[in-house]
Amino acid sequence: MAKPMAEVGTRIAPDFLLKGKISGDEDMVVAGRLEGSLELAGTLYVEPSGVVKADLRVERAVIAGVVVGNVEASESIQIAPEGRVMGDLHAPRVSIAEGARYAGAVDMGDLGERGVFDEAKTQVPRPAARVRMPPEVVAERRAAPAPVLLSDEAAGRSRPPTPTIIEPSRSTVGLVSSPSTRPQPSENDPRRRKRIVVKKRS
Amino acid sequence: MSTTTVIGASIIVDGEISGEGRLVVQGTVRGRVQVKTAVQVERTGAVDAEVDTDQALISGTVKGRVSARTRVELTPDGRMSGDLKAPRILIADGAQFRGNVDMDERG
Repeated sequence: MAKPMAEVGTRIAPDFLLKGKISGDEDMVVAGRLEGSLELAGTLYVEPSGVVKADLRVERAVIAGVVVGNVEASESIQIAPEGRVMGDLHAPRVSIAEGARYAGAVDMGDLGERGVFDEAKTQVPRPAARVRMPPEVVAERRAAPAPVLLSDEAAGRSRPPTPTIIEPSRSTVGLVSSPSTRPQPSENDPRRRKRIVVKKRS
Repeated sequence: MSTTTVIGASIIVDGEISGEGRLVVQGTVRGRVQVKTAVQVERTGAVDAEVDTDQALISGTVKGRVSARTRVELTPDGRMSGDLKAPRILIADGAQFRGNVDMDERG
């Protein structure tokens, strides 16, 4: 029965089931069934006949079969047209081909730190002024720091000069501004003085 | 058509493997192996499991009970510690084996 060692590369054949905790430092092809958890320092290929019910931690994942579980890849995740994936994807590069079926959340990491949305932050056109503000108020607003979507210090940039830009802060996106959520001016603010007339006795 | 599953040298499986075709182990398997056609443990392979198959060819390390419906062969590189149950057994010169051997003929 001695056969020459012609088999190279890890492969789970179509009628096989591997269940448990699997780890390795090489590429793996799943044409059968894999259940449990997989941690691979390599590329995982799920063939169309492959069914994976596991959380995956790999370098690269190319999925042309069924995957139910979260996929975390240090390099990329690719869902081929025959792929069907249900679970969260975490990878710096993700591609989902046309025809693939997918349900879950995609997280490509902190995009703010990589300067991906720089254009959106600084080139927003100023909306037409609806409220006439006295010049002192406008000057005061200019001097005060504008709300920023992401910390500039964290991105290594110093605070740019802040024009009056209407930027939704994280907590108010989607909310309609109401008197209770609008930032209230401080005590000595000229705006406040306009609304409440309190005569101080000197 | 017989299909073959290969567990590569750097792979560690902690659980169970079952299937219809042939299993080639070059890495580490702990737990349970139930493979219909054949189990081949290569020189780099280490199996710490209960193995149930038709034919077993052991050139690596096996710890546990090996049950084969047809035959078991331990090659000169094979090292086994555990019970062997098969109608036909071949232990080559140079192989290391410690355990019980049961060659009781059953259909």
